[in-house]
Amino acid sequence: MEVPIVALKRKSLRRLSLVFDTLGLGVPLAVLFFFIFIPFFFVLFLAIGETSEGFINAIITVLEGSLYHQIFRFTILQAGISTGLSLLIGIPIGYIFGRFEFFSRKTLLALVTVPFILPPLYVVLGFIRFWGSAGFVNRFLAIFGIDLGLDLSRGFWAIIIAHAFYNAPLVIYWVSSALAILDKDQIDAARTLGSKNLHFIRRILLPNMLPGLLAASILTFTYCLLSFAIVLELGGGQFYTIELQIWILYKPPFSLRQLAGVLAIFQTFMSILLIYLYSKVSAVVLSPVKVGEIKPIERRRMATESAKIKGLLLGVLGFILIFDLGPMVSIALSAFQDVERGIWTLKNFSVIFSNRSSAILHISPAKTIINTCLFASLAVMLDLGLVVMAIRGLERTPQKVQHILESIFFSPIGLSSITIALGLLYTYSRFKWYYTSSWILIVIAHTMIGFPFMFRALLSSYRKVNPDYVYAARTLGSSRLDAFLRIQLPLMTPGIQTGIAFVIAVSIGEFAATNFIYWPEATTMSIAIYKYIGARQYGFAGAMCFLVGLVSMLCFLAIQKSIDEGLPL
Amino acid sequence: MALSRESRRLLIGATIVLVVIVAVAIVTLSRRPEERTLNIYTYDSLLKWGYDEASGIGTPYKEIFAAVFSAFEQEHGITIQVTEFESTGTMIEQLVREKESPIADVVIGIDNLDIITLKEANVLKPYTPITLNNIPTRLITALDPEHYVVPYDFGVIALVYDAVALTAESYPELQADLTLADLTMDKYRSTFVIENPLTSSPGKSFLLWQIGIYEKVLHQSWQDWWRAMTEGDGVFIASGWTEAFERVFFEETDDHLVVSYGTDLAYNAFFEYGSNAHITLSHEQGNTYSWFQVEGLGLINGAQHEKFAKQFIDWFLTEPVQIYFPTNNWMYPANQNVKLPQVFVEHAVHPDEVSLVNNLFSQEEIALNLKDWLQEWQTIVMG
Repeated sequence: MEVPIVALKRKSLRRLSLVFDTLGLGVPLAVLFFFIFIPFFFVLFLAIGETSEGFINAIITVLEGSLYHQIFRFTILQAGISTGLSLLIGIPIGYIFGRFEFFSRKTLLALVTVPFILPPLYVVLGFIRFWGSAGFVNRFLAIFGIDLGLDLSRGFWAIIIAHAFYNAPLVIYWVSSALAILDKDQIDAARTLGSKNLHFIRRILLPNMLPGLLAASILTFTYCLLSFAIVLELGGGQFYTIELQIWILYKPPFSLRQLAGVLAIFQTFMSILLIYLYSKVSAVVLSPVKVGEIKPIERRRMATESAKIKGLLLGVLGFILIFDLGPMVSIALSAFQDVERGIWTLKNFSVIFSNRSSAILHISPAKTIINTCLFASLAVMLDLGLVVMAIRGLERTPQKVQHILESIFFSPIGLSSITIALGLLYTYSRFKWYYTSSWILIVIAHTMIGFPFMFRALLSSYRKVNPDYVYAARTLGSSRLDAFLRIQLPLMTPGIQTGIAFVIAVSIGEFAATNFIYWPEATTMSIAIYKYIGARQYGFAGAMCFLVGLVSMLCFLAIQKSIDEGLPL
Repeated sequence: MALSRESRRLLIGATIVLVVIVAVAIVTLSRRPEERTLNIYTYDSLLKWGYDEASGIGTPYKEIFAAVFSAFEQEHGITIQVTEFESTGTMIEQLVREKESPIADVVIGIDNLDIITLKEANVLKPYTPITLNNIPTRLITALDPEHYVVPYDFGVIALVYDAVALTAESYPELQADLTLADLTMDKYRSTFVIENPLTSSPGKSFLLWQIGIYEKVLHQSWQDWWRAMTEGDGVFIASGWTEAFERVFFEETDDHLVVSYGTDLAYNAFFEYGSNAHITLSHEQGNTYSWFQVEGLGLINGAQHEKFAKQFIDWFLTEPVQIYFPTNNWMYPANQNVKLPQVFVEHAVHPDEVSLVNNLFSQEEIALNLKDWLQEWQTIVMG
């Protein structure tokens, strides 16, 4: 019997659409199952070990050993102090950006918030070149004959300041956006009733800012708690976080894998608890109880302030600009200079683009750039595909299940990079393919670390699409898949851009997990920067950092648009 | 329920892009295990210290590679794939990871401390090369009497300092009988750079040297010495040898004393660097002590090309290969028939000239305690 071609096509298409929809949830869930949950359970098995005796011994070592006491204490202490310093810097700056209007305010705001997206090794090199013993600050002071012997690129305070450099932007963002939506009527009423100075701060400003500050603090604390590269590179061999110790214990000469597993489990408990707290707090911030319409208060014009206040504001702004731009400019200088001879040159770039194998990297620098681009583009495509499927699948599930599924899709954020890498490595390095293709695990790690960012960005823009458009298209005979691809997806463009930018930034800057997994041929730019810094080749490291930083900043521009529209950091 | 042309294009386009990227990744990144390829793992600087591009002194690595690896390839009709790791730690970890189905056939660069970790992990298979009779027994014993690895070079760890910065007037101990206890004086500890024993091989060797002296010679607490060294603004801990050495000799800092190798002066003399570097060891109770490092290579348990691997190990200990070790790896060649270059005779510290801290320990003792010592060290420096 002859079947009309058109009918066959339609039938197969319908089947395709059906398959697409049913697989919608299955595929991303399966991927998370295989590459997040199974590896995590393997870490759990690793921690528990073969005998209960070994497990108990490992727990006792962690709970009673003075080394682990110190590591836990240091990890929490540095995270606490880093959070404190981030608040100290972030609150006044956030206040200025939230309450005052001045020349190129938006550009400056972008400049002071950009550090949060920079790769950790970029920050490390920036600190060495700016704050280090042979860094810019010391050379500048030497002009005036001042020699403080200052080396803020090493030790406890270097870690703290680098963390503040990284995380103050979060505080600035939360404070300035909380102030931007201050209710004018509320303030006017308070002022009329005689509230001013301390009373005003305590009763009006603080209550409005507190949830945002709390959210920023929890997030900052979590990031600092899980810090790896900053502590490894700036700690000067004297400071170790839990995250760093897991990696040290796993590899020789220790090879104490069970202990590494136990530490990873302990750390995961902490981070999941913190992320849970964060989600609760940020939910409060993002859905404030509003009665009637809010008239946001206008910003004060800096130009009309008194000279004293103007001076103060400019002083604070000047400080933050030096604090943020110093390390970035130092990197650019290293990239374009021959450090030894002190002349301007493009030599560093011609070296990092060269195809000749480098003794420091074991492969050619150009190959590390190609690898980085490959991994980032694969992570972007995989995350995009998986998240689109997840979101389409979510649409068809009942409300109750939706919440559970959302938490599952968001869960990778609760695992540190080292825990993800440890799990993947411990689970999959037993298979033969790993020896021929270690790069696959790197791509998986980057995809998993980027997944929650992509998911959050796409979900929030998906929810903004007016469903009426889809109904209209469906009524006019468009298939569900077609309606999604041609109507919802294009309308989600801002979210997609943000998601892609996040995943690119995460992937090109990723160091901890990649360093754990990679084989020499899969060296990335982050690893190359790490090796160049180790070999004291600041010029090449600077040139690589310059490129990575440039891409990260472009990603930031794409993300910023969504942040302005209310996507939480 | 049809798919419009635009949607189809979008899906097809996305699929094509994904397939292309995956294909590129597979082509450029996957190792293709070939038949008749001998896989050798080693650390990244093996035999790479023999040439100064600026002055043209020495032999470029290309020629060394040809003489050591390519010559073997041609004679035995096999391709050699050398995989270089940034540190022996990473290399050992890799060997442990792939234990069940090893890629590597031979590993080069396992020293007398690394062997403990490797034996524990059961990665190697003992092999006695037919050329082992040219290697002195004391080296074999010091590295591994069971022949899981056999020695190819050796040397001592030493303290190297900048004699212009650390003058004889201010630092008289350097000229005479410096003891480890002297190093805890403020003027020394503030100028001293060590390598982190958790991440660096000379760093680990120095820790063992210090523990040996304090526990076995002086019968004092080795931990107290480290507490004194790290208190306040103390010793500088570098993550590896390169960082430490660069800091002392090529950067403008106040650090002028570093844990390095006993051949450093021979190296400077060979390349005519006219360096200010001088060498000293620890002088305790009338003896001069140092830590002895022996490096070896071994056969991987379950190697796919065991026959070639064994032949390669035989070859590696013969004179045509061994002659390159002094001025390219800056260690003494294990093969006793190799004639030493003049710079070694004049400037290098030979292990026979000093008392070796290694002899104060049994290998079992080190194997039993190494991890505890490292963790204790970490506890102390975290203070």
